[in-house]
Amino acid sequence: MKNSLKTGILAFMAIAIAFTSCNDDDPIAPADNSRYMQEDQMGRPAINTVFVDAAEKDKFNTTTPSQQGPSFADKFQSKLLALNPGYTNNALGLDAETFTGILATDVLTVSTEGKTTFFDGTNVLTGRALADDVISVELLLIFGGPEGAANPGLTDDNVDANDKAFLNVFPYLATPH
Amino acid sequence: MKNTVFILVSALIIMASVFIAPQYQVAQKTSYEHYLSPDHLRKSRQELASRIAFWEQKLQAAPGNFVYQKKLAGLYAAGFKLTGDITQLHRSDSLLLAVNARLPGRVGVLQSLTANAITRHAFREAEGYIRKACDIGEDRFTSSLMLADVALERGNLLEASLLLDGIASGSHFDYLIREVKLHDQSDELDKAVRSMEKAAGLARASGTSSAINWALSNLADMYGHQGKVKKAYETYLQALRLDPADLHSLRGIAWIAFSHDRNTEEAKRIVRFLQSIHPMPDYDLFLAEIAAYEQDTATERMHKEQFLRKASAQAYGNMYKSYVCQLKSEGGEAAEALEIAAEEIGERPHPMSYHLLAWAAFRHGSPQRALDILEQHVIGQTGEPEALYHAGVILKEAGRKEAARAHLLAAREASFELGPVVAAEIQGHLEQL
Repeated sequence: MKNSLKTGILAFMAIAIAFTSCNDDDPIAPADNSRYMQEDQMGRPAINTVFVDAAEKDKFNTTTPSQQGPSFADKFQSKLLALNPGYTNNALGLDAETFTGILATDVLTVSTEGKTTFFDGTNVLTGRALADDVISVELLLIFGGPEGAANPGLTDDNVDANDKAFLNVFPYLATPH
Repeated sequence: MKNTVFILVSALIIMASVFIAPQYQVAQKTSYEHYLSPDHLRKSRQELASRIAFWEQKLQAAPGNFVYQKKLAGLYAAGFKLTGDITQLHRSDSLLLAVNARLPGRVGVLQSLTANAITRHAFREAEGYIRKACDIGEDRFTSSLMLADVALERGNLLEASLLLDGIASGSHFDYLIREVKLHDQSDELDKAVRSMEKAAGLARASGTSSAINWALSNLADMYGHQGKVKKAYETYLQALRLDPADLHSLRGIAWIAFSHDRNTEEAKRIVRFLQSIHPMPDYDLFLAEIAAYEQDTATERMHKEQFLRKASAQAYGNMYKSYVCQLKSEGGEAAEALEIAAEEIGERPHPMSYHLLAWAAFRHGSPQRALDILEQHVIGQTGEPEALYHAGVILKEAGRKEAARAHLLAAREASFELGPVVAAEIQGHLEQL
């Protein structure tokens, strides 16, 4: 019977792995003897996901943003040119080096004055509003060329709105669905 | 003459301590009666079922959507743990395999496949997945922990220890519980308990009741292994207060009622309750053990047959191989047991699997082969009480009296863990030495 107690432990250990790694969004009460480890970071949606190779993820996720540029800009540039070998400039007039230099510091910039938007045709990276079509903007800047007209099949994710309306009051997100 | 009297008196005292019920009973019905109700589990199950229905509906509307498939895979794996329904584990696996086929090389998917394969005791398969994840490199911390899990299962203590050294982090719950397993397998139970207590402390600090419950229910098992039965009992109750549907802790209490209190009626009542709401084959093995203690041979045989029938179902794969092997060794089917043990060694070349092979060989009438296997793969390589006991018996029959006594005495230390039937057998063997 002893053995069955043991497998009990193992089975439960497997659950714990699942629990502890999935509980990221549970509120965790700070306590004196708890310590934390950085697991992930993401400033702009999909940038870490797309531009960082799996082998470098752990390193990127634990590099402070001020060091991300020096450590990763070159790799981002290679990745960009691998994704779009025909890249020259994008709609913001940024060449590959300048563009990936900006992307590698993966923070969400916010303008404290003026409109909050990821990109609205005029303002660029002054924040991010819930309804901004972030992924399409990124695709456009990566594949669209100087006029935004190149690679038309790759510059839009074809998702134009959230599948449920956002709220007008806090927390502004749509209700769970 | 004096000597004979002394031996007789000592034997009587020892026998009394084995056979006579202890004066006090640890398990008190009033403290746990509340948990013997299907209501607690029903609530968790309903909650899970509604989440599964939600994502199934989404998947139906968008077949092949890997986000929904991943969500469902996690929920079905949890569903298996909660309901004991093995088909849910298979559903989880097939969803993960579909995602893995479409998006090969996702570390998270490989890790989930590994966790499921470990649950199915398919350790070679698990090793394949997690080595791939380690090679990819993302989330190396979790992959290293899971590779250490597989290494420990496959008896590779050195690799596990090197992997854990490489990521040592005494303030991380997931790391600490691997340290617990490493200490436990290295026969350092006290160290293992300290690490688990530390893990429980971290869980408390996090305030996540599922993690605290999990840590406490396992800590309770370990107190039991140390022979601290009362402490084990109290810890199970603490765990149950956090999760009233914690079947693992209820099973622990049933074991205390049986192994310590010798209150077989109460143990049977708890186990039957567990069996009624959680249809896993294990409980028949527990009931067979109680019947053996009550010397009710017919009931014992009935439960063993039921266990063998259920556990041999193809859906369970390797999950119950080691128990099936042992039952066959003891039930006069040692030839078959030898085959199963060889398969088990392929899957898990751990000293405990070799001990099964040695025991099967012994029961098959090959004491010399049994001894050779023991000396090569078991003795000095595991301190598991069951292996110590079987090694003691094999050594005794081989005329190696001193070694036999040492092994049997060490096994006797774990009488609570082994249960009264085995404890009495050990005592019998010791008396013949």
